[in-house]
Amino acid sequence: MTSEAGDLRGEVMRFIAGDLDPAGETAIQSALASDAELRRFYADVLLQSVQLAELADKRRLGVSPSRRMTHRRTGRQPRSSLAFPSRWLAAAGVLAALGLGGYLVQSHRASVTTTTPTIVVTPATPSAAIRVAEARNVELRADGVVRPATAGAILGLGNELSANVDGAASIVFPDGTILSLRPGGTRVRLDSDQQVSLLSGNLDAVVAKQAPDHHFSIHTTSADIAVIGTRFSLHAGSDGTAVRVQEGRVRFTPSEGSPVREVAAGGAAASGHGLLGVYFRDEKFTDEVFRRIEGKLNFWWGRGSPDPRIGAANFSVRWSGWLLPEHDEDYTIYAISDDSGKVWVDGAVVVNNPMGHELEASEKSGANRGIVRLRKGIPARIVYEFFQIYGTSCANLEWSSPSLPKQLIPAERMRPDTGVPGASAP
Amino acid sequence: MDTPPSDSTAYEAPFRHFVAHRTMLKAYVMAIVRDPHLAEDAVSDTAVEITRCWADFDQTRPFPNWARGVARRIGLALLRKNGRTLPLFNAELLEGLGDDLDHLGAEAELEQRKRMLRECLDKLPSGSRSLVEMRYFNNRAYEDIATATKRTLNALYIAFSRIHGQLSTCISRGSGSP
Repeated sequence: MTSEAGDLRGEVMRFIAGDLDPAGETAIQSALASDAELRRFYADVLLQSVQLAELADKRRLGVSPSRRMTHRRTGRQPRSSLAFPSRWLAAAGVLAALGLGGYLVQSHRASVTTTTPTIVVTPATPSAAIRVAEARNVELRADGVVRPATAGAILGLGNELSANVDGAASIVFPDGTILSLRPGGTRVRLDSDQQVSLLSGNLDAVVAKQAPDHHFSIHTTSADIAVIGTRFSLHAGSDGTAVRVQEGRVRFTPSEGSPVREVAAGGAAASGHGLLGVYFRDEKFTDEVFRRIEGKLNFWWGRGSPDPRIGAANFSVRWSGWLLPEHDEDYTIYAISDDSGKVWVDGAVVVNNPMGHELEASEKSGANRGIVRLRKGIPARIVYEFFQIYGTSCANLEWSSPSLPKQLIPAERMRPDTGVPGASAP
Repeated sequence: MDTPPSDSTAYEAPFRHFVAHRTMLKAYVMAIVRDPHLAEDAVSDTAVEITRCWADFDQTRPFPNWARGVARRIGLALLRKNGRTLPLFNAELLEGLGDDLDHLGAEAELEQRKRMLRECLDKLPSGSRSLVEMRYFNNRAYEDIATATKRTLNALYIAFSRIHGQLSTCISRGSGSP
């Protein structure tokens, strides 16, 4: 190989690493398009990269061949530790709904472990048991005994699974329904072969199509979700419950007495106290990443990010819901926002902290507050739009009145928006 | 959202085809997204999309070409969703890359290549093997590896190109020795 060819191969590596400027990108692409040998090298490196990553997973895990598939997830980095299985679970949902979930699982196993040149795709044998399909840093509580949960463990009625901060697990039901527990302390309890309680945390669900008289349901302390056969994400915590439906339809019954709602694909619903926070990956409230219910708004992110799913710069958040005032009087609403924030109450702007405003000057001048008349027992709609471009970031929301000293608005004095897309506009 | 076919067996064919080309599609989409984790996401989404769009596939045409088109669309959408912008790919290059990947073999042959890759990896000189481990096993960035090994980035890229070349030769020989 000539040194020029060696240099070009080095440039191919730089290209794969995304480390070329636009001119370099164009140049190497032209070279690859016209030089068949160089392009074959490129194809080979791509294949090796993919296969080395697969080998790395196995080596990190030190798994035996018989357990490779079940531990596939555990060797991944945090960012993708759920992304990969969740997407497979989504695929499983398409197939499981038609009783073909086993194809995907089987093929996944084959893709990782096969040592024979033929890939045989056969349906998985149905099992009557509810079992843990994958587990990483998860504990199983059964009959008062807590032990590490392992893939393949059978779940009995009343058993609890708890995912540690970096733990994750999936549970498979005989009908192909799959629940995937996200990291961060998610706890579930098996109540029956048709019901699970989400005690805290977040899960993704792919529920197989249900018979007309058979509804899978998930219970939380603040809502019941009856599932007809669908895919959705669910959050439960002391602040309330939020569900977001990707496919199908769920029936959402808040326990605080709010009306029952049918939530269709693309929709969401929430119960509990606080405001619904919708987080966007841009500063223009367009590229939504996730939503959650938040109690008191008092965030001091500094130069950090509000959540691993978005960066520390160029993001935005829209909090929306209802204020539940205790008195008939003028309330002063205060909002601190860095970089920028705007608060509406019943459609009127009460605070406007524009980009570039000085926090201290805004506090001194009173620009970060506004007065609004609220009536006891009559919910007032509130929307708080916040965006961050760069540097430090923070956001909070307080109120005061003749009867109330200045304070963060308590979670129990707020009710989250329904979360239905389009319903959050000021 | 597309309505899934009512006949459950309708899923079997697309999924069987996908499984038979999974590694090729992963390598292809890796070229587009240039991130192994994003590539895994993309290939999973591609499986779903292939199943959903199966009716659009003209079965008189080669499946790999059609599947790569799906994978490319998914990969680009994922890049946009993740706020990443990369220069557009030269169409001729992508087409040629697809052909090259096809020539590397079907899924079973790629599995065989992976077994050889593992053997060849064990026989690399320790310094090269250490670089591979840092990059692919520990997911360290090239900049980080360059600093740790007191190399310039340029030298590191060339070192990796040589390592991949050695592995490629070793795999092709099927001898297990670089």
